[in-house]
Amino acid sequence: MKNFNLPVLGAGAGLRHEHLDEIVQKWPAFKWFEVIAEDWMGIGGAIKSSFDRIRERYQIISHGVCLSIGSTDPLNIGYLKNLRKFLDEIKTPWTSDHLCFTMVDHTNLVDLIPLPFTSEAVKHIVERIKVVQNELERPFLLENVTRYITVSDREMPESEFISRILEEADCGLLLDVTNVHLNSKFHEYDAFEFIKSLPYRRVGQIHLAGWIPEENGEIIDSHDAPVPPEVWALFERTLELIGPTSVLIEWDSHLPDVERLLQETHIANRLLSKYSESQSSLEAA
Amino acid sequence: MSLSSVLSAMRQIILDAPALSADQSERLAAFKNLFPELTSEEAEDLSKVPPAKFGIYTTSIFAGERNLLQNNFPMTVALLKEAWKRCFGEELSLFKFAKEMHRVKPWTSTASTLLGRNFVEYLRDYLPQVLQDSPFLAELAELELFIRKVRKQRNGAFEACNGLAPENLAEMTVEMVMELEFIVPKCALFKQLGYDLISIRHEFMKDGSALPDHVPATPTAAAVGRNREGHPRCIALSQEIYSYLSVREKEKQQPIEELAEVYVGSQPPSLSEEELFSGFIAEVVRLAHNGVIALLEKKEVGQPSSHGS
Ligand SMILES: [Fe+2]
Repeated sequence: MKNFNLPVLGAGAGLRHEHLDEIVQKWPAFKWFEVIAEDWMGIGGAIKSSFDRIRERYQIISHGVCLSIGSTDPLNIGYLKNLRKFLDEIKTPWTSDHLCFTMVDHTNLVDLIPLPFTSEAVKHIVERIKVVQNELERPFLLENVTRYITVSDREMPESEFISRILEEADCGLLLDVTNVHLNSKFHEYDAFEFIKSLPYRRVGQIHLAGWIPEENGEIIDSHDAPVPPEVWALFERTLELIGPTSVLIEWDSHLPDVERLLQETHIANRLLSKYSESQSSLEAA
Repeated sequence: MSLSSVLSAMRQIILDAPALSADQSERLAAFKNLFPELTSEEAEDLSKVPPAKFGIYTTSIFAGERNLLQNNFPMTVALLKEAWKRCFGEELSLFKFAKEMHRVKPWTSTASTLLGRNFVEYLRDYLPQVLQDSPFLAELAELELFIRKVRKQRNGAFEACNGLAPENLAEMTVEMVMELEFIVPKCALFKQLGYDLISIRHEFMKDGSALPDHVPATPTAAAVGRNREGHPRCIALSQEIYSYLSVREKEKQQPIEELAEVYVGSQPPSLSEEELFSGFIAEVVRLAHNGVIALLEKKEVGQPSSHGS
């Protein structure tokens, strides 16, 4: 298995409401767009008209933020049914969400909160992924999140936690390389060794993002800047390991203009083609 | 081990942000006390987390809510800031406001409209001093929530953009116009306001610093529709037109003659037939332009639009 058997689309970007007008005027050369499913499900009006026009020209891939796969609240089946309708409508070949929890005790924390790395959590999440896969009936990926805290690693390290869940649930990985880089700084480990220890053949998609340090010097995964050199370097080593993979530039606040965003995908595409060439020559040999 | 106890404790630490000691053993004692359902291992693991790191989540959550309030309720927030200064003699921290609001009205679902409803109710039920200063604030928040809903609402079977262009009415005879039908689109919303918030909002939308010194208590019948480009528009209606349109079944074709009768009934009897007709045409054009109604010819019955899905 390679890329979790998903197609390699090249480098895409997140589709944001603020960019709609510019995109439908200029039709920039993005290879694909990722949409935050909850922002586009069940919409109408002007946003929907632009979205429909964009869908005719570009592949759209869905990415969710509200599944709360690790929560102990019941899975929201109504949400999954609506999501399924949306996925069918946009014909996305796969969808993803985050390995975290966002709701608990029926309260929305509106953030991606990390989980304890325990066998109990593994078992709980694997069962829930199976329900999700059943409802959505298409390849499903989970994304590794940035975590500022370690809730518990006495039973296993994070890499084992992720690996066990992916293998036991037969689930794909959306590898956020920026998140690995930041976590490796926050928790002092080797980022590339971490990636190597994951079931990387299950990586169907990669995320890359940048950040501007806070005024107090603190680093938050803020998706508000170009991808920094150290993340490009880790991305390149990842490509060397897993081969070309669909990659997405995440840029969510302090949005650049469309042209600047496109340049960022060009950098990723150049690296992707470098590794697709080296891979085809390897395969030929 | 119990996952639900751990997640629940994390929720309380992050959202309620209790003051936590810098000393780990003191934190451990505090967690054992606050969360008796945690095993000692679970309490110990949580106590290892420096409080400032939990604080990153607290900050990110309420900064996110602050941004949502600011973006979806721009005018309410601008006027709330003014009222806050008058009531409490200090600048409003929208971050602290969002945190306090979450405490008394937790966000219990993933639907972002719930945050809006919470905001309306919080303004109405929990801030008597502010409400006394600016009694229109909760109503304004509700109006902005309506506008947000209309902007996003899923398309109906027949959208304003699929209707007859209102400009065409200028070339029609009285008989031709009276042959037309109309619908109230699925997305249109109606609301009786105690204040004339429509005109102050128009000014504010033109210039974000145009805040009124005084908002008069003028009963206003408001309608929010979606224009032919799909953007939300908010207009004031006469009480007669409001009473008629707000109870029509959405998307059901109605003869325009009915609307004409209501319009005529709202006008002074001294007007000539010509004046009544031109006034009616102007009103229909205004309603259709703002997407409060969509016009259609009778033959369009049963022809769902291709854009409507
Ligand atoms: Fe990501």
